[in-house]
Amino acid sequence: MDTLLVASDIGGTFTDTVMIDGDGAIRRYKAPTVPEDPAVGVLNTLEFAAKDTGTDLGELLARISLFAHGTTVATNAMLEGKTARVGLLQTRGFGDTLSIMRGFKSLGLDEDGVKNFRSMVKQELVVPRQLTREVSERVDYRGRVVQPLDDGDARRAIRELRDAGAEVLAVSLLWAFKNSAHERRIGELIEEEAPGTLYTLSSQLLPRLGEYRRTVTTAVNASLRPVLRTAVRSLETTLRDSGMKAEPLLMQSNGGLARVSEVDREAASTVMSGPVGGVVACQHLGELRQDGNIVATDMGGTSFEVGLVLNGRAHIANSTWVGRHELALPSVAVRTVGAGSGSIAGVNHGLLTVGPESAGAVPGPACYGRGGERPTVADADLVLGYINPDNFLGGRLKLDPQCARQAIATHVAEPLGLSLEEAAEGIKTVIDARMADLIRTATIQQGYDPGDFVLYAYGGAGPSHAFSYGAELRTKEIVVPLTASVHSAFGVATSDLTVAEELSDPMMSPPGTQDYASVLRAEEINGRLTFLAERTRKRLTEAGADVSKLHSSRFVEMRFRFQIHVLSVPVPDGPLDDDGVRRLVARFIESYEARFGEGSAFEAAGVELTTFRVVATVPTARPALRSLLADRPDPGAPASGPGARGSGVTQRPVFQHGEWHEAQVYAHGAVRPGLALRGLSIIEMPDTTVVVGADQAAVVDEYGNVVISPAN
Amino acid sequence: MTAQTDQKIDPVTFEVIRHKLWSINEEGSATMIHVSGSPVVHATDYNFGLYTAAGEMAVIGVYLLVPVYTGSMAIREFLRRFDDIADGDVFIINDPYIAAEHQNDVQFCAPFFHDGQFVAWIGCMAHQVDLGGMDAGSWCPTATDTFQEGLRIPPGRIVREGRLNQELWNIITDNSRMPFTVSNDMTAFLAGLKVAAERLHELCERYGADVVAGVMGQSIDASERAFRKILAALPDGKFEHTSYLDRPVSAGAHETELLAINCRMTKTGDRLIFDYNGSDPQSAGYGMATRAGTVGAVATLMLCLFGSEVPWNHGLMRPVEVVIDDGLCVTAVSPMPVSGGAAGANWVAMNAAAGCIAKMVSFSEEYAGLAFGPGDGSWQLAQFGGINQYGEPFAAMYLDSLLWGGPAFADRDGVDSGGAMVILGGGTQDVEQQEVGQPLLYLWRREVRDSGGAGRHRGGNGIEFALTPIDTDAVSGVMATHGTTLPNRTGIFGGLPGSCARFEIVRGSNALGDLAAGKTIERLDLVDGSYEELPGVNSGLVVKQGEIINVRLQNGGGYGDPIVRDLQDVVRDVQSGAVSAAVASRIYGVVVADGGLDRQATESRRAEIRAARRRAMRPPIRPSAAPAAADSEASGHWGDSLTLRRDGNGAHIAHCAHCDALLGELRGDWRELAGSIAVQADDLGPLVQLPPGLVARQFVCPSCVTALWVEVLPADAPAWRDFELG
Repeated sequence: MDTLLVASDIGGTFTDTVMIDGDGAIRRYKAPTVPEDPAVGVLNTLEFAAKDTGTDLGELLARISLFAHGTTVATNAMLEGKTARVGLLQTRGFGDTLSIMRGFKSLGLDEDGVKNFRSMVKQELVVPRQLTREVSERVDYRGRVVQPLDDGDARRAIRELRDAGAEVLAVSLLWAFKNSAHERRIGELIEEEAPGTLYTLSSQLLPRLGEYRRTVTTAVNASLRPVLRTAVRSLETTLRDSGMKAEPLLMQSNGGLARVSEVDREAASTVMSGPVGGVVACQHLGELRQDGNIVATDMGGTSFEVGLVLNGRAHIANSTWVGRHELALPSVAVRTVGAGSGSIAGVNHGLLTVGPESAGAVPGPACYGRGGERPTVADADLVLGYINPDNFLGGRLKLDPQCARQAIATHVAEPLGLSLEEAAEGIKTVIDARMADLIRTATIQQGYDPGDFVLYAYGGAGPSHAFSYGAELRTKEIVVPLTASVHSAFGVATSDLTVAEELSDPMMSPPGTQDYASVLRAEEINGRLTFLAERTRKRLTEAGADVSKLHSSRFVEMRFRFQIHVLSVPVPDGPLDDDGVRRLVARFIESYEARFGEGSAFEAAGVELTTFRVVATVPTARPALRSLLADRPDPGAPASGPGARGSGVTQRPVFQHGEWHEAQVYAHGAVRPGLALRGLSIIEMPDTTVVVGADQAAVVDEYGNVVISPAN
Repeated sequence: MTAQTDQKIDPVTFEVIRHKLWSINEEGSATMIHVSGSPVVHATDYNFGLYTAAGEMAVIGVYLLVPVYTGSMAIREFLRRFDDIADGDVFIINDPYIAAEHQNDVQFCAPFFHDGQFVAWIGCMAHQVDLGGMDAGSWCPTATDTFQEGLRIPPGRIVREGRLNQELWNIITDNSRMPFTVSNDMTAFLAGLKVAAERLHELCERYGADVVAGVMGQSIDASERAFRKILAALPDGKFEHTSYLDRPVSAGAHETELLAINCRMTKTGDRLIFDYNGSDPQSAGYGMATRAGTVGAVATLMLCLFGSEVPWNHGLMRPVEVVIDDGLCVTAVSPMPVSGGAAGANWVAMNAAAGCIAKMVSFSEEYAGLAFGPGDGSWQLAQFGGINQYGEPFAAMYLDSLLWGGPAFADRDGVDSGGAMVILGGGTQDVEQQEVGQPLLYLWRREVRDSGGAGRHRGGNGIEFALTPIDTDAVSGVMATHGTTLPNRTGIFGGLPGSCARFEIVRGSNALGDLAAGKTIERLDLVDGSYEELPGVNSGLVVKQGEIINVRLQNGGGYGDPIVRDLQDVVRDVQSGAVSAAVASRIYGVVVADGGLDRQATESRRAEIRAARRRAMRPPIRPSAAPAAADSEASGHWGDSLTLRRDGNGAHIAHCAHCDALLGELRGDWRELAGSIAVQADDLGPLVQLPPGLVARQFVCPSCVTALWVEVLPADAPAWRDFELG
């Protein structure tokens, strides 16, 4: 069958779309996002696609066999405070759980924030105290009812919240994941007292120990449900009205796709919908290129993001951050630092600082000529000759080198007594070192050696900085994917339908246990995992997926008792027997030591299995990428217009290590599989610039990716 | 050979290395936490730091702060005692009389050599769960000498040139009730030190040891310069503040006695001297601090105060001198007991110093924002032990006691349950995490209404938490603190103190039975049983099944007079439940009706408060001679309270900052220019107590009667001068 995969990444500024046809050729398009109506940006990119392929929009839409998208709608709603007003119901005595925040006034702050006692305050609560009510009830750590639920009290609380203006409700009771009867009963009472109100129960959304994060996550989820529902329905309607037949799929934070009906209940599971696409794309490309371990790096305008692919799988963390709020939903792990091409440089106490403050899109770096006066990383890149003022955003924005020079001279060079170029190179050195440090935090500090990884670089500025921050880490190679400028959208296209189910139901061994299988009973572990597996299968079936292709991964979170650190340990397929339990514990101890150092295992204390998780996936029509060998180079690039440039090689001066050097500059058209470069070189792609360092060499692989490695 | 620190380093390399040093410190610290995994360590009762070869703090982790400075003291002691310090050595110390707050705080410090050059020290510490002594957990609040307390480890080597001193290691673990955990933590120290050293080697390989040492040294120089510049911009003079510690006259007694801790701070040019010699002598009871704990507390204060302006390192201590004789309650020497004093006299000393600084910076337009009342009042030790629900022995220190409210500032309220100042990055665990580990069920963990001190900006409210045994017969408890009979968290510029500390118990009750019967438990004194407010210091307490313990914390003091607080802020506090309608009316003079502001009633209530103050006011000792005239330009301010003008002779003339009434010339004690009102505990807030012998005085503008300062002090205490400008 003729397949046409379309995937869009609806970002805050741009909507990126990739289109992959039955031949596996990837085409890529970009259009500004219209925040009030995300469908417009998508349709505009498809408009370009139709023009590019010589068809009309309606025809193209009708041919789409699968449409998937990532969206920042949930994140933006949270950051801009445009979520629904949540009313929260909690166990009597614990209605201040959110406000107390476990006492962490520093939650979500960086180093400078934490060192500033006079300004350190907690973030705004996701539910104000006025919209929180306590209900008489109590369940204990074993799930036993200590105090029965007082129905009348719960009804009163629901009515009060409704009258106080709560638009949606969240219920988060202590130990509800061990015994959900009280939460379920409150759900029934909500349907009686406030019919039609959307609500979320913590025991359904997140059956996991730890009431602070469970409550935050439950409340945020409830607050996002109306926003996400509206956005998704509007997108679906617009696309359907324009002629698309496929039901849109949505990217979740866990790196898998879900049908809209699924996501409706778990709106908070889409907060990382945007950023995780890039990591998933790396996982997919890595499979093709046989790179099992990848450091995925995305350098954009305001931030630098790092994710990992380990043994061919995107690394999943138990939680994710939106601003200073931590949501306890599994997410492709993405670490962020305020370092991007818009990061502002300045001099403080005689020290050069760069970021985290960013010039943003408006006014933007000085070189945008939109009134920005303070120098940014982009200004430094321009002054140093790395970027071509006429090739920015495919030539759509002409950069002004004079403004860049002026800003750097005034704010950095003069205060530090440096030459203009030295100052610009200083800015670059500092920001590259900061990014390398974040990668170090994501790898070395977690027990991974960058030498075992290939670094992938994408995003607007990643390809032009990776030669430097990547070299410092001594990764095996640096890969700039062909899809670097629309990498997240590409990732969305390559993702699977995914549902995850988890359950906190701790099992533990007493201190000094010799045979773990004698106390951690295999049948109890199997029971928990089977229960979860059945739930995932049921959900995928309900979503209309072809469960004959279902693949399950099973995990147990384990830790040493009386300790804090939890590791997620994969469980092999099939039921466990006694030996399987022993192997599971051995595997935990081995990974613990690998991660935290030899001798760190604390076996004497006994081990605890805290949370059980099953992740089930069903592949969508995954694209088979076409080899570009013996093909015209990069058919995805526009045939005409900006970015469709000659195939020549020219020279231009680049300032590096304190002096000017001649760099070889390759126009986009010159890039074809097998092309080999050596020494300081620049490749000007339509939407980005790839830089190869003086002591590096690069080749273009059969898929059009630029692979950089140390020369020799 | 010691690495040089004086070469010129270009600013880019400097910034890159400075940042790398911070990541190295973080990496060492993360390794230590990972390997340890102990909940106490996890709750951030630990720290990690990089020091110069001479022992100055170069890079500081953001967790428990006092020990970072004691680490510096420890290193200087190692340098003094040993002339054979070698590559591969790791030193150990917990001796509180030399360089620790108390015996639990075990520190490891490793000299770092690169290619034979002595470049730096790496240091780390963590609170050990038990090192022996009369009480499980080694906080021994009723000890009468140090020999009843945990093991004391003098300065020495736990690793000598790479070889572990197993004998010493065994002595330490054999003296602990929890040898595995202690052994595990010490392993974690070694792992953290090793990782940090490896990374420092890489850095030295790349840039050279002299450059790395240079960045450390020059960062400290830069902070010192920046701090001295701030100091130079602040007024010279003498500033004084006295704070008090209350404790039972004997263990378990309800009757309390007071220890006074007096701080006189002299600021000249770019130097600060803190003199504590006016403090009470040491004594064989609760609350004694050592010199290390006290000086460490002053260093902590410098970081928390001026560290928001200047990069954190030893540069913030170089201009500071602490003058104290040995043998005072803040410089106890052996054999005085000190394990329970880790957060005793030294915290009170820190508060006294903070009071001096608040009085000084409040003269400056630029730095007045750094003034606040005491950041931390008292650590309410709540440690329980016995047999847990799994039939195993347990001992657990409840870090919930850290969740007090923060102090108010000139421009904002204190943070509700913001936690300790001395642990900026810290907090505690979830209720569920605690309940799965220990046989104690929480009845509540909630913020206490009206517990923060009232003020133009109010102090943060803090929590109370109540526990009852479950799945065990009984638990034993060690509960100790100060501040149960007087507020340590005083306010400034007319702000009121936060709530006092309190331990409560109900005996002979049946908590779980009541809950099972559907009864809601809201307050301990309403439970069927015998209610008792416990004294400040208890050991050997037994909590039986059915009985309930409640711990209520001391909370932040206010800033400025509550009757000038923004009306809508008060309404918002009433709506959120932070402030009761009763306190809003009585103390803030704001009447809230039907959830909104009753403007008319509020106006008359505030007028009523002023009228009452006028009636109660004792007129100024030195009433202003001339009528309010002087239309000269204001030459400065003192916080919320005073506007200063210069007269023809250059003398400072004080006016009320609220109504501009002339108060008089600013010489001697400024309070003599103000009216004074004796106020009752009730007027300070519903959760504030005053023991017999302590009085509260409100100093007010004699003209508009707005409060300028509220003081809690012994009836017979000599009046001190807040400041005497130089």
